[in-house]
Amino acid sequence: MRASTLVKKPVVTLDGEDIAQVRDVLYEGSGGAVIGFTLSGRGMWAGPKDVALPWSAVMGCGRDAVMVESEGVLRDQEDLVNSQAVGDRNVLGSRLLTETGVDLGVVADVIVEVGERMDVIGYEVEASPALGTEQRHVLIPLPDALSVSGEALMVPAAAADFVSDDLAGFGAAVDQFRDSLRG
Amino acid sequence: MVLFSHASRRPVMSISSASSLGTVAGFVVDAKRSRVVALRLSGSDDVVDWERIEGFGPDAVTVADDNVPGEQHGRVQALSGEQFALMNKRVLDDGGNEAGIVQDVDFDADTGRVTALITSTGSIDGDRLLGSGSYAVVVRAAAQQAG
Repeated sequence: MRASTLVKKPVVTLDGEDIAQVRDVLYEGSGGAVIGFTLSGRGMWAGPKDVALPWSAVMGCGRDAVMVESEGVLRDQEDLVNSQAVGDRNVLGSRLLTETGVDLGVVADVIVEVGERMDVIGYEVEASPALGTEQRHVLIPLPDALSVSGEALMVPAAAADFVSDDLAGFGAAVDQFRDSLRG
Repeated sequence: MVLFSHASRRPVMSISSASSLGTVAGFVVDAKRSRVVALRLSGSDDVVDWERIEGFGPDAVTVADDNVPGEQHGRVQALSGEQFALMNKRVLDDGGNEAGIVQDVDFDADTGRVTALITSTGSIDGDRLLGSGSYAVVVRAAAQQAG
């Protein structure tokens, strides 16, 4: 799913109470996984909360809500951020370059996959002319271990061969791409 | 099995006095235990705890006598919280996906066990109930679903 679709999702307990909503997604420093969410209150006038939800406490993350056992699993936001190496850089708007120096485009969204962890499996980019695609937005797979610097996002050149137009076939494209890297 | 919609407005009769205490106006449900724990009566501040019910028949619900046990007096307020209601609530599974709105509830008239939620998208086994609150009725997901 697109990480942007997580924002504003209600956080609901198994007792059926909506205790917060997702404000922002926290990524680990390497950018390869989601470590949790910052939260805001529910309702029109509710502002940011100083609590956060670690991914380890998420029971389910679906189309309509993020499910948790109870309000007790929420943690102090500062504690969560300090306990893990949180990526401090927003990848949105960054340029995605291949290791061979080709500009693939500007990152418009982050594609995540829900499993044991919430892995970052790709980026949606505003395609550069170099990709030669008709679509304005395409999905680019990421390797298992992602290396990001403060300056640029770099992916193996082969990533350009596994571009998808939509989420439907993207999971398979990511698998193929990662298999190809393992050679 | 009986549906909430069919059992509503059924008269509640006292066996000892053969008089009516009122009619069934609602159901108090403990979602965690998948049980109906009490009936709300029309025009009364009292509830009838499930244990007091002698028979839940097709034409009337019977209780032994008219004497409402002291601790049950005026409990309608205490049991009127959102967590005790199911009807017309959205259903969420523990995977975070919605599964319709509760339109009716099927229960076992002998034991009070909730056997199924009838939602706008289908029927959900009562054993899957996990909880009920102001936002949603939460049920266990039917099967593992991919992200």
